[in-house]
Amino acid sequence: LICLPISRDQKREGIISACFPSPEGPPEEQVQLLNIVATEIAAAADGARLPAIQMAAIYAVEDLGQAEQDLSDLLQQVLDTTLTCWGAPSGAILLYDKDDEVWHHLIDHRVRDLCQCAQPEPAPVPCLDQLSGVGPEGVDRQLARSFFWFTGHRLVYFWLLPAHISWHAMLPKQAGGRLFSHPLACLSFWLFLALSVPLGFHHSTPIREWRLAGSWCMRS
Amino acid sequence: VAPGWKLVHAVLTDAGFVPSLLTAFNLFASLNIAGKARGGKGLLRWILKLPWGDPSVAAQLFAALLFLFGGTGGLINASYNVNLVIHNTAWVPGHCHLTEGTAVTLSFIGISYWLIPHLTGRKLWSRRVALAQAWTWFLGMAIFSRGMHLTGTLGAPRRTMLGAAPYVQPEWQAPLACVGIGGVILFLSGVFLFVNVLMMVFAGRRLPVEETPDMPVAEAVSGPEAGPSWLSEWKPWLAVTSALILVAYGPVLFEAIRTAEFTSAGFTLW
Repeated sequence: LICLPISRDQKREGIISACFPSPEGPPEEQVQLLNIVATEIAAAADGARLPAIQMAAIYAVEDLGQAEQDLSDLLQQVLDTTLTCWGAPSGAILLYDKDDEVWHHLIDHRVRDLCQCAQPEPAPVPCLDQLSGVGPEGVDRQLARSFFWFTGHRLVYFWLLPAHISWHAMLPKQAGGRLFSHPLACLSFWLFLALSVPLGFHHSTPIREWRLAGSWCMRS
Repeated sequence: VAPGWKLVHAVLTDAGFVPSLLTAFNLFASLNIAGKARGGKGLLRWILKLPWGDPSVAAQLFAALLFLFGGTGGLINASYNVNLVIHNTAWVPGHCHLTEGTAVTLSFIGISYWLIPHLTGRKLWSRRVALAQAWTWFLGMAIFSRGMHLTGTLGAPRRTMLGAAPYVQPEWQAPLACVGIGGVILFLSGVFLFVNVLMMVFAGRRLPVEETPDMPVAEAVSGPEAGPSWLSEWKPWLAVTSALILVAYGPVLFEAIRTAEFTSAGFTLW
């Protein structure tokens, strides 16, 4: 079982875990055990209030060939799937042996480009800290997220308010009655305007990260 | 984030629930007037007297009904201790399906049942199919989102291809089956909708002008004159909104722009 905390500024952002059993494939009990362990990892990350972006993913591998090439292909698949599932821009997998020595690693080329990794292996974990600033495309993630959700949450109300208009102004007529109160309807629409517009912030920081962030920085 | 700022954002988010409650109160009071006017009696029995046979009304009533649950779930999303449990789980898309996927979508569908005849001058192709569409959407979504909320509470992540995830827990299976069953019913509902709209637009019977439905405009028991004048003015509300935006986003954007690196890695163009 291999676990990798991807860290940024001392914060754990995610966990990749994988299983590489003997070449003849894992016995069924072992797969079950690994499922339990994966759940434990996720629960531990949750319990420690670590902002793990997603639950731990675990891959039990069957028929792993001896060849190094097979292992690389397989790791690439695991990495690609995990990154796609998490919507993560990049990632890495490290395999540790019993003595906590890295015996194999796979670093996403985007991470490698970003870090301009001239360091000898196994150095990628500290390198990943650099992910938090400017992305590989030259995009400031913090600023982009702020602007995105600044406009993002009101989009929800852009859809919701026409429905509310129909409920207030048309549905009572269709149902054969009258609107109870025009001023109350006005008040509720004004409150939607005033209160919904500044709300985007609650998307860009999961509430449970608020206690961890040291400043206004927003990462998720 | 300092505790004070967290409080500001938590209060703003929770305060968003107030206009939803006002809407619910106003809507139920208006429907109560309608039900009573149609001869309904009792504390709740008047609901049965509402024109449930009108697909436009039925769809919007179902939408409002599920919005009660969607709104409650939204308050849960915004609460610190429960958010710890449901953040980034299947709960969240379950919530979105109740609010945007039903309160909004089913309302729009209901509106289209009078708006399309109003615009095209063609009769709704089938009232029964439209009613079946509203009922199946309501039932399907109730089952579907119930399943999503439950799997989310049990820890299933969102934005994940659960079908390929080897860590799916045995207790997720039953609620995931709900999601599947609800989804199938919703698909049926979608088929009903498209068939009805396409038949209406391309093969619907042309209505004479006097039979084309008009836009329904409800009169108010208490009209605009019953409220204070600041309810009818833009200025105070725009000022309050601008101030809130400044409070909520000012420090964030200031800090982000102050520390932004407006640089880009070089591009290779050829």
